[in-house]
Amino acid sequence: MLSPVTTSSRRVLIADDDPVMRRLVSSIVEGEGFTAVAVTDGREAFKILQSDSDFRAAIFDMMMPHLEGLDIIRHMRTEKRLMRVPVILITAESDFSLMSNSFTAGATAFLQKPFTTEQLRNVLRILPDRKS
Amino acid sequence: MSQIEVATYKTREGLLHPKHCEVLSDAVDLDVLHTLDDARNAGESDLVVELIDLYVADASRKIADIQKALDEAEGPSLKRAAHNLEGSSATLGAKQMAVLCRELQGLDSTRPTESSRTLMSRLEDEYCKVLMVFAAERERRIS
Repeated sequence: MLSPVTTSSRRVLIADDDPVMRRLVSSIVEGEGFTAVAVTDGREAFKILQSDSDFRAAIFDMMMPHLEGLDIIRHMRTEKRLMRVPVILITAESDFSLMSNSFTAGATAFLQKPFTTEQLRNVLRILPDRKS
Repeated sequence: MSQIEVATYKTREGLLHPKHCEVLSDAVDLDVLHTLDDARNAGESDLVVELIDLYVADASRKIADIQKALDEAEGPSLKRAAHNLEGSSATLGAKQMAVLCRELQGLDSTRPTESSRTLMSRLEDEYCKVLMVFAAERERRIS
């Protein structure tokens, strides 16, 4: 049985190599009262997660240099400290099998670009509680 | 002078030919661009202006990356750069740019072809139109 992981964190980790998306997502996240911690690639995001798991959620672009969004999720889901951190994947792809693979790998939500501010806000508002 | 400054100058001085203005209206869906105002937080500067500046600085680099990847038959680099540019273009309402980027991702990148050259040329033309629309929108917002 999994041990309950609790957090009162208001931080959200964002990894996207596109500066436009990084800025936009950070702004929406901050508008919801979170602190955005934004990095430019998957490897940097994973490095942070290895020493600091106190995030309310993570938002990853699917296709990033060094380590792709899906690969980070697979790593996260094998680590006890990280397995309950909700992950939102963002991609320009509309492939159904990709979406299916994302959920199988452990993604919590999937957003297709272009998404509206409201869509991301709604996902942030219904994030599962890490205490459960 | 940066690209956005040149485009702003041309727009302000009326240096755009009327026929350009006609085709420019299709380059960016301004409704999409304006919905991004919803993401602006109280007390912050104009987010759309900031996003336009980030896009312009990044898109020129991405277009050069796409051209280099085509010249060097580097399929993964081509796909990554075109995919990245597709996402930000669609987000800012530059729909035709996004469509062209999608087509570039589907190219046989093992060698430059007539079709890849044509597509690249269309992408550069489209980017010029997008730049003009963004310059006008930026000018409207900061004036």
